[in-house]
Amino acid sequence: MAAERALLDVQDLRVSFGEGPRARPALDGVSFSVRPGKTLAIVGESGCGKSLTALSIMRLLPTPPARITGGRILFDRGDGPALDLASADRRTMRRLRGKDIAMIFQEPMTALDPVYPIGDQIGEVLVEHEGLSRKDALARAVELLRLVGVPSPEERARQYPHEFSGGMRQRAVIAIALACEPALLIADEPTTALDVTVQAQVLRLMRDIQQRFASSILFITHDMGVVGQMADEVVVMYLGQVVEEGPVSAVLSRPAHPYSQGLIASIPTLDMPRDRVLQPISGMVPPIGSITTGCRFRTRCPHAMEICRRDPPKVTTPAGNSASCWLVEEST
Amino acid sequence: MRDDGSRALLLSVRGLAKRFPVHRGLFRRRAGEVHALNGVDLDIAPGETLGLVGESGSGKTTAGRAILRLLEPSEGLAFFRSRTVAQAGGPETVDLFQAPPSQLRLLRRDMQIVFQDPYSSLNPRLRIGTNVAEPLRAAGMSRPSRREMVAQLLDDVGLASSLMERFPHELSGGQRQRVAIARALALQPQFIVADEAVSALDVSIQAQVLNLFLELQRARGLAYLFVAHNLAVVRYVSHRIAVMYLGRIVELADTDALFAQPRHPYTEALIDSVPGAEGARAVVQGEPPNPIRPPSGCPFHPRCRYAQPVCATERPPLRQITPASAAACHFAETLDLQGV
Repeated sequence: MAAERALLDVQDLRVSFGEGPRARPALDGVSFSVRPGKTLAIVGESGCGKSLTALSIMRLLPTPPARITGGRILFDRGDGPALDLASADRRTMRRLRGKDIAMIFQEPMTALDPVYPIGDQIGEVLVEHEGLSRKDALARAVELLRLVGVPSPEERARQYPHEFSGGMRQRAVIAIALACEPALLIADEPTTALDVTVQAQVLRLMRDIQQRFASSILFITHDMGVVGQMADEVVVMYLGQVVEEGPVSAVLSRPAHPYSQGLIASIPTLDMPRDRVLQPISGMVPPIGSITTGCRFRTRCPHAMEICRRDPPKVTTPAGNSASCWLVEEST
Repeated sequence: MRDDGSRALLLSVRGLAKRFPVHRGLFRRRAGEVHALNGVDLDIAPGETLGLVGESGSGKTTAGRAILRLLEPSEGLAFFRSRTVAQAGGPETVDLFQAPPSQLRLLRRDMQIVFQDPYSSLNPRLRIGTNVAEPLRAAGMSRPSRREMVAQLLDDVGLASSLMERFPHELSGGQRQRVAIARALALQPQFIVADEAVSALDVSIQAQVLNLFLELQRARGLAYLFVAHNLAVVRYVSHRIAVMYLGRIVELADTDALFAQPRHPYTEALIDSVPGAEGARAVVQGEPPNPIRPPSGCPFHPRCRYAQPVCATERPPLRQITPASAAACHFAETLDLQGV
């Protein structure tokens, strides 16, 4: 990991809601990097900041009330020094979005404009960023629809979003995202709204596409099964911070942080023994900004100690996970 | 009312159908019907959980609501062994779909529902205590005994009785779902339909609520119809599972049997689709068809990788394949389908 240059390197990212003394930190020093051609998953429950992280990278935060208050988001365009998206101007971001970085949202219907044919919506990106003529853009749109597995693409390109099923709409959204062959694809719960058989199709499609275009994917999800299937590396977030990160196989089979352990122990799986009782994490996620020092998980942690009031160190286990936890520090 | 194994049943449904009219055009002309449910048979014993799984449009939610008569069924019979009706001098088993309004009011005490979104099922302008007490008030319980009962119910679902004075918006999603469960329990029902009751909750909270359902079942002998799209969740809580596709049950089996040896290709496809570290084993083609225009023959045949010519012309009935499994597939005995 050391020698290779990261495509995206997020360093100590801070985002707050509100201003002055009433500002509440929603992202509190988030760091991770996405390597070229790899998939990094961010996993966590509602309010952990995973979607906020994606919106920060795209600079699509609802401002106000949210704003970036610190840190860097370094994006490597391959030529010269990496660009800091956290401080890039609007014009730079507009040129980047859809071309170098594309995003796929959970609900395809909100990402599509109901009054334009699908083909025009895919073509628009190509006219905007690649300077293609309308005619060439439409021809390329048909090719893209074929690529993402939409049957009879010539005909489908002329149809409107309401004429597409949920799975086909998400394929169309993926076609738009792929139009300019972006280096980074950010997918925020792209299959959560889909039926399970259709989810399997879309996940397979995303895998195929990644191999074909060698693109990097930042995959945001709450589903550990999806993490296991899609990602090379995983970042576990809790209350605006990264609590653990590492190779997927290590984090899923030997989670080091008590929150990751709790998360995995609370998910029923198809192969767990029938008589095993789920071990939920006690209590619930506290409101954003209510715990601002020490380990944020200590109020729910079964192993909480006095020292947990102090900010925990980041410790790397022999398996290769890095966890921010005093207990892990003690045992390694 | 007994099943073949001579268990006394709590609920027995036969031939349940629900059709919705389809309207088209400027004058909303009636253009046909959607068969949301077609010939559904199911039995539930006291203290038992029957899981109901399927994708959108499978009819699983409609089934739960039609059984409780929150939707009027179009056809079918449903017999329910109601404690309350019997105590009031009525028959031992009641035909739910023929029950007159007076009997239906009594039946409501025995059959309750918990919805996916507790926020929309609780009255936002009433305090939590009043929300939970509502069924008790309707049943004619006095105010002081209601208060005592509500405190007990909140305790039963793991909530502090101090929450009584709060409003629904002040609670978290998991707490609101516990409140909805407390309200469903207020009149000591025998049977609860849980309609995607944990689907909207974060996984750590989902596990808490699933365990609560199991504890309440042990303590009170409740029977559940547990409707959900998440196969692992249904497996965790159910004794038996019915798999629905396009308004019909395509497989009905004991939980262990269903996952060890599925007997319907659609069940296998569902198991195959669950994401996991090994990746999906096989990906089924296509999407669930529009129920307005169901395919001929077996409803799953256009997507089935084992389909034969007969599957497009003849619809296989649900039939017993082994003592533990029933499936609606022409080739249920000969296909070697993969379980977990």
